[in-house]
Amino acid sequence: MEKRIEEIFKDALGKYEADVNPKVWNAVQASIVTKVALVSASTKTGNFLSNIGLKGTLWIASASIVTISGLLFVLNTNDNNSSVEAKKAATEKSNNISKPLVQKEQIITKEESIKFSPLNKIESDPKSITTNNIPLENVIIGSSSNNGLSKTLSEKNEQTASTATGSNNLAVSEASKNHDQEAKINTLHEQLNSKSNPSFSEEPFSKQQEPAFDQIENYLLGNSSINQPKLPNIFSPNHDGINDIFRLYTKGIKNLEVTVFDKIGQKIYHWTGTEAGWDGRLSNGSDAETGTYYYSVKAITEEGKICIKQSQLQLVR
Amino acid sequence: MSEEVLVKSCIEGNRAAQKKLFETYSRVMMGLCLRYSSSLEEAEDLTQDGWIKVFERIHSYRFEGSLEGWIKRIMINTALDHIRRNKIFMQPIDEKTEGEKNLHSEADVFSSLSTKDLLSIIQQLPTGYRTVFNLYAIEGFTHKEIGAMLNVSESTSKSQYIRAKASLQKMLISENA
Repeated sequence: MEKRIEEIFKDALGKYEADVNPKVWNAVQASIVTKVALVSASTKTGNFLSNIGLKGTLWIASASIVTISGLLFVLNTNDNNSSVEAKKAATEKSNNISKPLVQKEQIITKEESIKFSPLNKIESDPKSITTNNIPLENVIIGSSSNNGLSKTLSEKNEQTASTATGSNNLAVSEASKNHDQEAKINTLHEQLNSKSNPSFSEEPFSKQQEPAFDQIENYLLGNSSINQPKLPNIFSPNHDGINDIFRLYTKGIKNLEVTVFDKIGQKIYHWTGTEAGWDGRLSNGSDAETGTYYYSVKAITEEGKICIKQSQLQLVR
Repeated sequence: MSEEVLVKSCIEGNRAAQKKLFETYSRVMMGLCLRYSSSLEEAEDLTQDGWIKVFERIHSYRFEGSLEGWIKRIMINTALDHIRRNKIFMQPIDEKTEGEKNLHSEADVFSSLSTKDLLSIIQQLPTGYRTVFNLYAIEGFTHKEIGAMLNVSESTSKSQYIRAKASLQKMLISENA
């Protein structure tokens, strides 16, 4: 009896097995080892941060301002006002604190250099950058592009070192007091964000961390005139025409980049631009389950400020 | 060691368990990756990336459905990612002009071919055809599902499949000539 072409192929190849080159396992094994090392390092820091609570977090936050400003001062040859004592104190503190923080930042920027590449392209367009925002953007672009280059290096430490120096150098090149302030806030902002990044902790946005984060953020930004994306926390993609698409209100926002994660921190949807949104479908076209999701937003305001926020999202049908 | 114990040990980072899991399924997955690629090197890259993803995500395996199916799905998604990254474009075609005319008249000749021959024929197909043929004929997805997976329309998936079969037929004729 004649078989159809597809049946012949299915019968022959459906259960087809082939020899595996031993180098495949070696590569896989090597990759698991590196990943485990990275994750455990960041989880350790994460636990430490959440254990000491808000006060401790604030302390670390302010300490890291000192650290980073200290590094900026040290590297900034034009700044004649910085005293030897300040340098010393800053260096001492940086020895104690900056290591885990810088490492975490490095991990997060590595993520971002992939996630946010379209925005970085926009940022590097000189016309879209207003003068007083240059250092801000340089820090971000500097650290992520630097990371892109150093990503090929297998040595973790080398990466950390080069990222730290790279971003500081860039910031210094444009340094003025005003700019320093912004750069500091921004770097701190990133560090705080990294605390709740879903890729690196079991419970990415635990309830204890959220209020602390918001308080610090408000404190740092001093409720300035920055336009921030408003963050909805629920939507119902059941095709009834009401709240079917998850969008962000984008008054005063020039560009947006949004990534949606599921409960276990897997990236399930991503878009750029202020007009787009998520219709509740997964990349394979099936409807996402009812439940809690997380999303991170990177927004550029019309003034050119960059704002990174993360929040929860309830999906109901 | 039961499958559940094996998976749990893998999540804990037990090296022996990870190796056991790899050894249990690596040959099947290599076979699958070969079907989705045009060369051995490409298949090895795929299978390597796929396994790295398997170990990254093993903590999210819910013990629903077979473990083999779950790993397979990761491999297929990895293959599709590679295709998307390489931007293989698929053009919809007019279905009326290319019907299912005589598509299985040569099927008996195919059935005399060895598995290796069939594999090399599949590998010679253009990537778009090969992918759709694999997903539809071998994995058993519907055209609707394939359309969603590849971000193309259902009819594109259908027409690609018809073309893939026509290609297979042509390749057979030229091989016999």
